[in-house]
Amino acid sequence: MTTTQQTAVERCISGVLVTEFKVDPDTVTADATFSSLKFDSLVLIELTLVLEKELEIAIPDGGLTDDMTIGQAAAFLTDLGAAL
Amino acid sequence: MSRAAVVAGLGAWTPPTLVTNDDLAARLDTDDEWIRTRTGIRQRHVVGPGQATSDLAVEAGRRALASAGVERAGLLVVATSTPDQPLPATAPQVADRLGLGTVPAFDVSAVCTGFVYALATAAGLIATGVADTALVIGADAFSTILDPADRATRVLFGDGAGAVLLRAGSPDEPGALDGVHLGSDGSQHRLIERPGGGSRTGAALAAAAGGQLNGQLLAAGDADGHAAAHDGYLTMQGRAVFAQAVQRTAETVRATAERLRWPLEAIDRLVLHQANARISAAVGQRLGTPADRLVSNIDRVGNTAAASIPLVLADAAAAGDLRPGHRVVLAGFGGGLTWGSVGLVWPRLRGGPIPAAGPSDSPTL
Repeated sequence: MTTTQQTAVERCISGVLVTEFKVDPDTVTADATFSSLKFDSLVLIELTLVLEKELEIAIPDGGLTDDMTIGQAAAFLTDLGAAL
Repeated sequence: MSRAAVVAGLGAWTPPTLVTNDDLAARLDTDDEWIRTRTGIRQRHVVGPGQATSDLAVEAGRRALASAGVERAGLLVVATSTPDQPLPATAPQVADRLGLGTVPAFDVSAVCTGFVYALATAAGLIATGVADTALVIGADAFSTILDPADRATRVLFGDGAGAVLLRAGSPDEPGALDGVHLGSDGSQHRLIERPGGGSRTGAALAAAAGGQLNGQLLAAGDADGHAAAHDGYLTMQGRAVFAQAVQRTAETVRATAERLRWPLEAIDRLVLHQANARISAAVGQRLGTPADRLVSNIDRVGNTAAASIPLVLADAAAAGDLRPGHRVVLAGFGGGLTWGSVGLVWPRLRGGPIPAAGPSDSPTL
């Protein structure tokens, strides 16, 4: 079930991807996996660090994975207590 | 405290042999684009045959003395984790070769945080009156401890040395070191390590030799002996190191800024250990520091471990990017894990900074 909170977290992730990581906004959808965005190996670590700051949570190492969709990542971070 | 350690000289040196990304691509499964986008590095300097860390340290030390306009220092600290040999320390030899005579001289081992730890140690000895001047050298030759087949470490590391001359002064003058913050986390010691060459592998080899003498434990001894050969190489768990480096470096910069009562936005130049351009960018992002306040030379020298902070300081000061009056925070992170930072208002140096490259890079020095 998608909550309002999760939608807000998803918007935050999408915003970070477009502004900080210069991802084409058209490719950033809830169903897109991180691997489909053609990141190199460091970007998921950098994304994790940026989202920790933006969402004021601690994300465990390896928490975000290549095969996750943006929607799944939003659900995962919402469960961790993402504050928006 | 009425007495502080004040930066009075700055010099750096890199060995002449250059290794470009294309040179590495010819031998390893990598290419220039891959290395540049992941690390920001284009080239690195490496020691030649027969050259050791002390040779780098002597050159940098001589330049820092010249930059301060002095010939002697009352104390020598060498930050290194690639000493000439495991025992004795490298610093006494360096002191002798610099003509410093029988001054106190010792090594500080904190991997890539070594220079910050060494500055803090020397500053403490000056503040307590043990010494009136101190030469602090960061010198490393990581090219000598890399697995030739390991792409992950070979693209990153380069060799070099940088040094600062400290003198006793007052806490409120430009150049005075202040706001020191240091930390460590030994539970993460395996993230960056070179396991061989110490008492643990020494004990294993002794047990293996004993086993051979007694005709027992031969199989285990062989296994240990084989492992020991590879234990001489540096290993790094890149992903975990990246995350820890960003978190710990940002924390230590904040701690130093708080001790100095400087708001983060009052820091004019942030001088981070040059580990990887993307780590520095992520630290800047986390602290809200604009990119033009982060000094960098990693494209030209790679990660030079304990040498990186004085090397980048010398380059930035010589280029005019770092100027007298700037509020500066130096911050390191490295194996141990260790981290640390210190602040100062950048001073005017009598002989100017003497960077590694440029016209002063003459064999007569």
